Amino acid sequence: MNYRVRLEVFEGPLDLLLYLVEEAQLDIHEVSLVRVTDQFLEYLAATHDVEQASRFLVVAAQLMAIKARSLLPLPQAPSPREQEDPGPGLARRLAEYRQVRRQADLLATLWARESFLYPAPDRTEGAVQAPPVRGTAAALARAMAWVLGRAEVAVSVPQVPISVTERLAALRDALEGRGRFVFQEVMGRGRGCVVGSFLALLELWRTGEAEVRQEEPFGAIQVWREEGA
Amino acid sequence: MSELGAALEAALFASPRALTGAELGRVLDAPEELVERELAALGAAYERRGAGVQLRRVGGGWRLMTRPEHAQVLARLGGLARRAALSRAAMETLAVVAYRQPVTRAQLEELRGVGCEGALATLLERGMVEEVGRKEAPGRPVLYGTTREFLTAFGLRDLGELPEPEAEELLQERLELE
Repeated sequence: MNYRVRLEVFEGPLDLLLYLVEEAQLDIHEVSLVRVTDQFLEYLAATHDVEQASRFLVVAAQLMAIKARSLLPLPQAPSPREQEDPGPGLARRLAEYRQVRRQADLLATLWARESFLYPAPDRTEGAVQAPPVRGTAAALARAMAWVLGRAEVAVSVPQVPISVTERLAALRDALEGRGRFVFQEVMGRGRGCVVGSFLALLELWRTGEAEVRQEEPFGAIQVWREEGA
Repeated sequence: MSELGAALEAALFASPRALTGAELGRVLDAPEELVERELAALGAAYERRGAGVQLRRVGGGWRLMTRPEHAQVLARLGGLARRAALSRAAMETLAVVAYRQPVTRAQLEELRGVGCEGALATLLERGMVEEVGRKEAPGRPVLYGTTREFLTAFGLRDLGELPEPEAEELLQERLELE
């Protein structure tokens, strides 16, 4: 990969960056993935080097995965071997898979042995019985046309537009009115609304309009107005 | 043969699936212990006279079945319902569920290294595998286990009868890996 990244903490090929992060010689928190991506997009716009783009995606995705993992709270310590040393992990998985294959062989042997014993276990129980076929393709086509003629073709998927701007306004109102609130009480209902509210919350925090605190994973998110703002 | 023994024989002969001692007791209005005793006598009688059928205990129940010695004769007879084969992917997926149950689909896929959706759907449809609960983990993924139907189809009394790979074989594998 002749494409090179330029960051405060690192300068060089992207896969070397990944290697250093994986080897824990470079702290992933020091690496701005936004910067890495922006630089690459600039590079891509200038060169149209599609081959590099696919390689970039792979490496960037791995960096992203590492960073995401390091940011998420872990319920318990992950087994360190699995995370730091892919070698033995791979060998272990290979060994496990071989065992699966062997067990499948054993099952297949049993299955073959049982296949010659009668009566075969009843497979029709609970299954849909095929209707007796007494008709022609033309009759089937006519029947289908009749069904389609009767069917109401009115499929509408309701879309509830959620605008982050609107959610932002709602959060600002709560901040103005109460000065302090619990995010979960204001976030609204429905997945789209919650996601929109959360993005709005991040925005409030980013602009320094609000302070945000969550004491424990999945706990209440306290939001209050920044002193002097 | 006792009247009860004859009735048991009729019920087992007619039933396409394995019947438990409790079920037979209910149907024949007889205590389960008595049923079990008669079943044992029935099975022993078949063995003694070298009968063409055998009484087998599978999946927690009893089935009347032909003996393996007559497989070729029956094959020549033709017209007998044969069960559909299981693909290799389905067999491997089934092996993971059987030996490691309960498992989630994610665990299945990690072990096999490929998607298991199709194989799992086949196994569910054929009644070999069923949902047995949900894992207390993020997303509460479905846990899968094997069914009685599975035990019957593989001629097993219970999961304890699942064959284990030879210890030597395992050792050999390990040496190869190292």
